[in-house]
Amino acid sequence: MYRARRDSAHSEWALIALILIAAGFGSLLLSSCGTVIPDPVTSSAASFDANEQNSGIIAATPTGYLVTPHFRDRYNQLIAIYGPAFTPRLEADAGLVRAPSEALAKEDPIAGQYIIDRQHLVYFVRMNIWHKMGRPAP
Amino acid sequence: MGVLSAITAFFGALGEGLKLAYVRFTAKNAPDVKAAAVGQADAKVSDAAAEDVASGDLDKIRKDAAE
Repeated sequence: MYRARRDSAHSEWALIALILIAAGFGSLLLSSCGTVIPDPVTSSAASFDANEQNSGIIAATPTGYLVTPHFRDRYNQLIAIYGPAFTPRLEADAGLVRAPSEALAKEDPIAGQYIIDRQHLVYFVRMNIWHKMGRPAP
Repeated sequence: MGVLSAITAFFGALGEGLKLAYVRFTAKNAPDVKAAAVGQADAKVSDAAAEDVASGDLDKIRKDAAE
């Protein structure tokens, strides 16, 4: 009788000790948890713009990059979402100018092509990656 | 007496450990720390985009600009 009660008391102490040890390990794990930041989402291929797989970027020019009207639409749509994230705030068509006739792609000189400068192309790429990551509007 | 002081020391050390863990956990998840971590990730995106555009490599830029 006495032995059984003593064994029971020992097992309770063992349980308490186990719980404390687990709490100790748990606290170590908890304190080593860092803030989780998702990696940028990147594509491994260009997307189609009409029949060309160029993501809407036709060619490099001395003043920037020749882009399609669809690229411009995407750019302005992204600005509508993420424009306030920039300082100063990004406005529609920022850094875009209508391409002069001599800059139009020789192989496909469609009307309405634009030239985007390098600074704003970087902004476009940043917004495009944010969009693919599912980042909410600021 | 020796057992009692050992138990007291054990609980004292455990309490200190838990307090330290709590402080570290809350510090890592404070709003400004999280915002800075997001900013660091943004800086990586920005650096990569700038490097690709500066390189003039159309293939890379088109992949970055893919829908």
